[in-house]
Amino acid sequence: MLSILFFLSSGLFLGWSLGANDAANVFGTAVTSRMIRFKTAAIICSIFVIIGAVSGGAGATSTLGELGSINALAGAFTVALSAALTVLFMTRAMLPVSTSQSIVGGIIGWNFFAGVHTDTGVFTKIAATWVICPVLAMVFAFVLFFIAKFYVKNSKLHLFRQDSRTRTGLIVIGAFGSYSLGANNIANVMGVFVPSSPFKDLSFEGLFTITGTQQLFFIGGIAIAVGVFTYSRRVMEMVGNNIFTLSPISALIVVMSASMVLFLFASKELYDLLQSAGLPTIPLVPVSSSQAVVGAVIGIGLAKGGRNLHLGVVGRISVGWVLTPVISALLTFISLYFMQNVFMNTVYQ
Amino acid sequence: MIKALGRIAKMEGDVKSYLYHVQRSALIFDEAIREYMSDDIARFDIRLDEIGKLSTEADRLRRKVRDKLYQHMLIPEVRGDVWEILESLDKLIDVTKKSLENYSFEKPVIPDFIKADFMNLSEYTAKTVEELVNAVSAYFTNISIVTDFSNKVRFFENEADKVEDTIKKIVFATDKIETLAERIQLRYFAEKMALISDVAESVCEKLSVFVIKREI
Repeated sequence: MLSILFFLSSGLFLGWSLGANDAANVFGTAVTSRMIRFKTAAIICSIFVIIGAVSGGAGATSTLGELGSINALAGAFTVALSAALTVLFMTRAMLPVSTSQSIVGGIIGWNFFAGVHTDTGVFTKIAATWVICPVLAMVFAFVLFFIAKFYVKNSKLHLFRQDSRTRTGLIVIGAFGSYSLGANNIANVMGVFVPSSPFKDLSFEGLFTITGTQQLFFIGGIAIAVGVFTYSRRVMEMVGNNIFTLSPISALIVVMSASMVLFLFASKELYDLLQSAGLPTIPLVPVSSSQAVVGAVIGIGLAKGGRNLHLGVVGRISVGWVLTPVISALLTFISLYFMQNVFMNTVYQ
Repeated sequence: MIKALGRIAKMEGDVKSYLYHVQRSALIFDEAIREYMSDDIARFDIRLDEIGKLSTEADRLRRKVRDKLYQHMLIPEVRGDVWEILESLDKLIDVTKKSLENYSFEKPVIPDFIKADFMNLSEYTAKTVEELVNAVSAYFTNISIVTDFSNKVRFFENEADKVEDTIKKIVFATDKIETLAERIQLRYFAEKMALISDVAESVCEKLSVFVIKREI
């Protein structure tokens, strides 16, 4: 059990980091503008992240599995650790980074090391979503901005009532955002451990079964929740005060747009529905919530006439798309070498 | 949730009531000036007493709204703006009350040939305040029409300024007023009356900025 926990620790660290950083994308502005108390935000975020991870995390995880199925626990540990270190390094270097891109780089690094062929079709599909994700969030925010503006103008709601509805909206959309974050991003945290998962399915008197993967995701969800409670407040304060200042309604639009994007790239139900209707499907891929938020903020900026837009941030994100997976793949390759030859662990079978 | 909705409904009611008090102060002022000009001092004194009570009640409402705004952390983004509007409106009631009190203390003699101008000035002043209250009310309920009311505030303030200038010109040009002291006193009363519309306009300017801040 202890060795299992040790090997899972790198994934749990990734989960903690995700909770600390990405909860701010969902509740940051709401908390710093004092529309919602941090404690309320943290509780809602934690509960819905765990629900999202356990109930909706399978879709995006299976796509990562198609890219590379890491079949040894020590290998999965090394990939997750390298991805986490890449995130840490790039954050320290003030470069835009996404856990999703880092873990994908890690998997490719493992593929190279293990001599497993990387499916370029799957990789292209994943890489395309990195570009589509912020663009889609931008489009959603742009459209939602005009809908919200029309509603505010015509509803003639009293300022106090509008404030009350915005608060409720921030909580409801925040819960949806947290669910989507859990469903989409648990693949980054625990996805690499799925093929080598040590957990067995648990059946409760035949009434319902909790699969080994769901148990794994539950632990990952807990790690995210710990990150939310222990460190996200600082990040929220930074997101809310320094990077951009949004009105509560704009914040609501940004969170809604980013959450919709995360949901679209995580919902297996939607995927199946589109497939059964013979419509083009949306790939189930873990995407970056931070980049979705940036896309949504740009969408709001464009809807307001394109003033005060810092398009330099788009260029920086593009650099991250290339730099993050490359660094992560290199680091994983080197780390796997040490894990196998110095620490004598089986990193692939 | 139900408790919060009840609290919001009460807050809306308090703000509405406060604005009604501001509007009433301007209407009472206009009536009081007309009564003073008709030498109905008894009725004027009743109006003066009325505006005093109204000012006290408006103060109580303003503090109640302030306490609830901060206790329940309502409208965090624009709380300061709303508080500033309510404070500025309070100053408006004070200026209106003081202007009437000066009539009571100094009892200026208004010559018949400028009484109509004084009543005109009073009417424009009251209209300026009335439109300001409409603008503030729209700030709370329908922000898109605040500008329409703000334009009316500016229009009536401008008209009030014109009447003020007319009074000053007449007072200093006529030979029907004997002493310089009387001329200066009449100028002072005209200026004090026009000051109400000036204060209303300055609140309106603040409001215009706050409207921009409320854009989503």
